[in-house]
Amino acid sequence: MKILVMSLLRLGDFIQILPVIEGLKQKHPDAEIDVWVHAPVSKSLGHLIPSINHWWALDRDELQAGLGRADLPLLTSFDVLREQCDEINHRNYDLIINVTQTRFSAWLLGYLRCKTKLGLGFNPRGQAEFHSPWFRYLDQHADPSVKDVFHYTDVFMYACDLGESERVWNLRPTEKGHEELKALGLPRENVIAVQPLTSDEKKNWGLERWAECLIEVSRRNPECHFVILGAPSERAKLEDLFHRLNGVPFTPAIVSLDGALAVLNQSEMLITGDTSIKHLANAASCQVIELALGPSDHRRTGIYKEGALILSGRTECAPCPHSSPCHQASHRCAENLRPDVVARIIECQRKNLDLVKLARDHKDIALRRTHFLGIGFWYALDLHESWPVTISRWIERSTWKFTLAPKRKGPVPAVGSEAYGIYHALRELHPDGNFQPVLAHLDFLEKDQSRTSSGDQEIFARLKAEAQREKTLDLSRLRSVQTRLESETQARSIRSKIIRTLKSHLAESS
Amino acid sequence: MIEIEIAKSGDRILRWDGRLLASRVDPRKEAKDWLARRRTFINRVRRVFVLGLGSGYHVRELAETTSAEIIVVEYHHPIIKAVSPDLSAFPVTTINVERACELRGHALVRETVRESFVVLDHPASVSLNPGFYKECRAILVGRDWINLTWQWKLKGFPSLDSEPRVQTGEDPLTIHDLDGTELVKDSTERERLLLKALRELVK
Repeated sequence: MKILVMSLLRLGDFIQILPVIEGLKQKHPDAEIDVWVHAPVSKSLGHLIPSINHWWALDRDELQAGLGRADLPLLTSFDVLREQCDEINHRNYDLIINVTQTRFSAWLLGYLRCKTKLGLGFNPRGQAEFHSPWFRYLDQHADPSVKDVFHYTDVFMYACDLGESERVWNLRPTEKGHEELKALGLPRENVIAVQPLTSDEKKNWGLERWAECLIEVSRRNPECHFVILGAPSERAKLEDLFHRLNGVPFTPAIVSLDGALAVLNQSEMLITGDTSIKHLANAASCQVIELALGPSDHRRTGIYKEGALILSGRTECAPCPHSSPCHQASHRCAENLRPDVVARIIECQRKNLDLVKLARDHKDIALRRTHFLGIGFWYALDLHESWPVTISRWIERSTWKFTLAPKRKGPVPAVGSEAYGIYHALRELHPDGNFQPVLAHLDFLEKDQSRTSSGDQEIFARLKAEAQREKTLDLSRLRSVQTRLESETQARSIRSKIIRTLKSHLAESS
Repeated sequence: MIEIEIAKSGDRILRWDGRLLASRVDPRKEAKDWLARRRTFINRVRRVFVLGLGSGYHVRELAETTSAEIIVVEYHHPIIKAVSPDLSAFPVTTINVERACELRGHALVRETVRESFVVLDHPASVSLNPGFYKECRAILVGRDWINLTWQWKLKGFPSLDSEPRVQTGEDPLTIHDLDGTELVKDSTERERLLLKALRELVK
């Protein structure tokens, strides 16, 4: 079997989907798994991932240059792209998965020939085809303002029918990385890796704040040694931070991705706002504290590691769009993350101290701890969030899981086990908790289900009656309303079952 | 007409009508710098056109960098005669034409434009015959309607428009102009999908 995975965005986006590659390898041990990536991704990662058979590199920047520069032939970009696509077609893949979810990649998937495709593609008439309800879900939940959404890694795992598989980031440490680490001469213990800069100005916390924070961490934890990670292009900017860290033990580490992986494996903790390094840490042994600023949407792309922390400044504009500059008078999401508070959070995380009080005292900071729940998805639990809100979100996600699952013959999905899974997760994360507010909320949700149900029926009946009265029966509209109502009804039935079962588990335990 | 000189670096260089065709100091370094400014696509395309053979150092540098086949368009036959022996070890073909429009009928050029290629100028050579090379470049770059449709037809694709469009103004064509063609707007041909994809990159 030959499988091609298309991931045409940036390095971090590709590292984030590595569990899909690993899951496919586990599911199809004899399959050849190739990837089609943006050229710099294959250059940086090619030698670190053993499970990939062949890397196709697409140079997006070059294609753009070919389109924009009048000195280059108008059709060169077209020819280069066509020749690569035709080469891919000649490989006769059995399955092509597009995890890019952009219009560019969708047109390309439309061009490629393959019996089975997964992910967003456009047909020659320009109509979108998702090939899986999970990719449709992703499209419908693209708006940053949605209340809750699955992590991208989970969406892609479920879309590839790998939802139950373990999320594994399999990156092979290299000799080059080992040599770079050796050259740094880091101490064996108490190393904290820091990646202060990102590729997006809006995601940057500011070097002044970094310096203030690290000086405070160092004052409270004199045993700590910092290693400041950066790319060669960031060296000049980082000099400013190095000057500010006067008296703090640190080592600058301008290293390759191989070197960064080796550094992370020797560090007890990574603190970062950078997407690539953050996802790279999934393959390393260190703890992670992520600073999610600007357009960084922790719900979709947060650090996946169990027990990691995600910090962000609470502002109504976050997460903001990637493309536009910050519209606030000052970088408010960064300002809300006070360096002294972040330093205390780092200390608590290192020493395994309680963070709830800290979260309560600093309401302008959102402090979230990540968990992979037994019910098969990642969740960043806001330490300030009330349990009824959390439970509502878990129930909603479990309902989505069932409604988006491929239709299989056989018994009805095990809704009872799902409810037990939620109960178990609740017990685990809230061991001494008082479940009365949760039970009261579940009562409310149950009543709300039946109320919405009768409301929907009324809407449908009214539309039908209107259409008959006016003798202009708009069949396609009625059909779409009916389809929507049917899926709503299915979701409601699953939701109700989960709520009832969960209630009985909670009632029994209390 | 043609004179041979020795550069400070010890390399042999050519002079045509009294004008130097390579650096008098270090033509190899000059060739490296020339290529450094022209790297886009050279490792992706099947062929590279070079307009002007000069003293050959830039062509040699290019041949050592890319696996693409190199086609040099040179107006002056004596220059080809003087430089070709130095390039015999490389996959380089030279084309000698007196009028740029002859390129359209040249078998190798017709074969080349069916696939991916780029066009690189050699400024010292171009300055000897600016009009000729400007015309060659226009034919190969295909950023006017006549040359674009000529190239498109050679690729064997359905025509971009059923009625030839008259290009207005002097501005070179861009991907945005292709957007307005019948192929991109209305057809269900597969090539349309790739043009639509590329259009997304410049939105």
